[in-house]
Amino acid sequence: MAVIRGSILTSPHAQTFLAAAVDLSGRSTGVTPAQLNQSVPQQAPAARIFGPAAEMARPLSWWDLFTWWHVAAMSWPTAGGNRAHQGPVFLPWHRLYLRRLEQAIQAVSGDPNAALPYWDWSADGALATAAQPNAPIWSLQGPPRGQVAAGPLAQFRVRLTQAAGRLVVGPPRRIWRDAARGVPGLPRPNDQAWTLADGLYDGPPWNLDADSFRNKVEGWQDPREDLRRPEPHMHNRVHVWVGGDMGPGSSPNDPVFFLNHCNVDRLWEAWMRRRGRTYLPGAGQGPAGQRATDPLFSIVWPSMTPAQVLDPTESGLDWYRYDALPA
Amino acid sequence: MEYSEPTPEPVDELDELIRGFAESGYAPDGAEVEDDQPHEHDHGHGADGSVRRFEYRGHEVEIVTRYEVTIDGEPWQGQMVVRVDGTVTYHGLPQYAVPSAVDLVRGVIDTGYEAPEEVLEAIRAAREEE
Repeated sequence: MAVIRGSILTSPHAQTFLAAAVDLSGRSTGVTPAQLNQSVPQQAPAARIFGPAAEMARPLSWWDLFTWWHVAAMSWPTAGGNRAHQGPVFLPWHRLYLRRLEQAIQAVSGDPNAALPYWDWSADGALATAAQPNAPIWSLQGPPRGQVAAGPLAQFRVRLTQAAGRLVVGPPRRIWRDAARGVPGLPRPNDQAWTLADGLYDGPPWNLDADSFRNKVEGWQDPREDLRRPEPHMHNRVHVWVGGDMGPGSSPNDPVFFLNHCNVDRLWEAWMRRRGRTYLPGAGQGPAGQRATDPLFSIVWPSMTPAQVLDPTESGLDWYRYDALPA
Repeated sequence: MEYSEPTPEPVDELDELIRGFAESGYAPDGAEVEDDQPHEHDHGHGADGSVRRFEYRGHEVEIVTRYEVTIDGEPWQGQMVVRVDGTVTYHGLPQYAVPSAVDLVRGVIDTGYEAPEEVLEAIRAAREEE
C-alpha cells in the first residue's frame, strides 16, 4: 500500500520520523566496523572505517549502517565511477536508499503508514537570507547552528565521520550544523522552476558537465550563469547551506539529509509527471553502472535497477506518493 | 538530558535482514557492473597529483597538478582533483566543485576543523590508531 509523503511542517508522520531516527540511532545492527571492512576491497580506501580497536569492535547502529552505505556507494571501485552522485543514477539510487530507510522506520515504529517527510526548501529560499535559519523546520529538527542537544533529536547519536579522506568511527556523539556559512541562502523558487523546465533527464557526458534535469537538480549547473559552477545549487546547495555533518560524504548522519533528498525525489516525480517516466541512459548507452538496467549499489536489501524504481506510486511499485507536487 | 545507551525491543524484520547481510559476508549487492565500453579518462588522480589529459590540434597534452596543503602547519592528507575546466573537487566534500583550491580548503576547514570537540576527538583518536 502506497504511503503518502508530506511536508515536514504538516505531515502526520513527522514525529514518527523523528522518533524512529532516534530509535535507529540507538538500535544495534550487531555488525562492527571491523566486519564491514572485511568486504571492502583494497582499492576502496574511502569506504574503509578507521578507529581505535574498541570502537572497531563495537557494533554500529542501523542509522550508522545507512551512513556507511552512502559512503560505500560513492567510494566503491567499479567501472561505473561514483554509484550515487555526479551521474544519472543520482536520482534512482537515492530513491531506493530512502525507501529502505522508510521501510526501517515502518518496522521500528510498527506503523505501516509511516512515510518520510520532505523539506520544501525552496519555500524557505524565498525568505530573506537572514530569516532562513529561523524558518519553522528548525523548531522541529533542532537548531540550525551548533550541536543538536535539544528537541526531538536530543537523544540522537551517530558514530561515523568522514574527515581528511578517512571514514572514522568513535563513541556515540551528537550531530552538528553550521547553517548559512558555506553559502548565504537556500535555493529559490525560480531556481526550482528553471530546473523543472529542462526536458532532458540526462545526456552525454553523463557527469557534472551534462546539460540536463538530473544535473540541474543535483546542483552542478548555475541557473544564472549557464554551465559555470562558482558555487553549489539545488540539492548540493542545501547540503552546503546546512553545513556541519551535512557537508562530508557521511552526511546521512543528519536526519535533514533525508528531508532534503525526499524533496529532491519529489521534484523528480514532478518532472516525470510532465515528461513521462523515462530514464537515460538506456541499455547499451552511457557509462556502465549508470544505465537503466544496471544494478544500484545496495547493502542489506537486494539491489534493484533504475528502470525498476521509476514508478513508486500505486500504478507501479505501490511504495508511496506525494501529497503535493510543484506545478 | 544525559545520554544513556538504549536497549530497544527487537524487530524481527530487521533482525532477519541483518542475518542475511552477515551470511553474505557483508558484501554489497549490485556492486559489480559489466563494462563493455572503452573509456577516455580526461582527468584522474595518481600518486604524483591530479592529471588532466586532452588533445588540441593533434597534440596530446597532459597537465599534472600537485597540491601540498598544510593547515595550522600540519599536512592535510586529502586528495584534490582538478577537472578539465579548472574547477577543483575533493571526494570528502561531494557537493563541491569550486573555482580554486582555496575555496575548497575553506570548505574543509568549515566542516572538519571547526567541528565541535567531540567530533574532533573522534578524528584524532582514529588518526593515532593508524
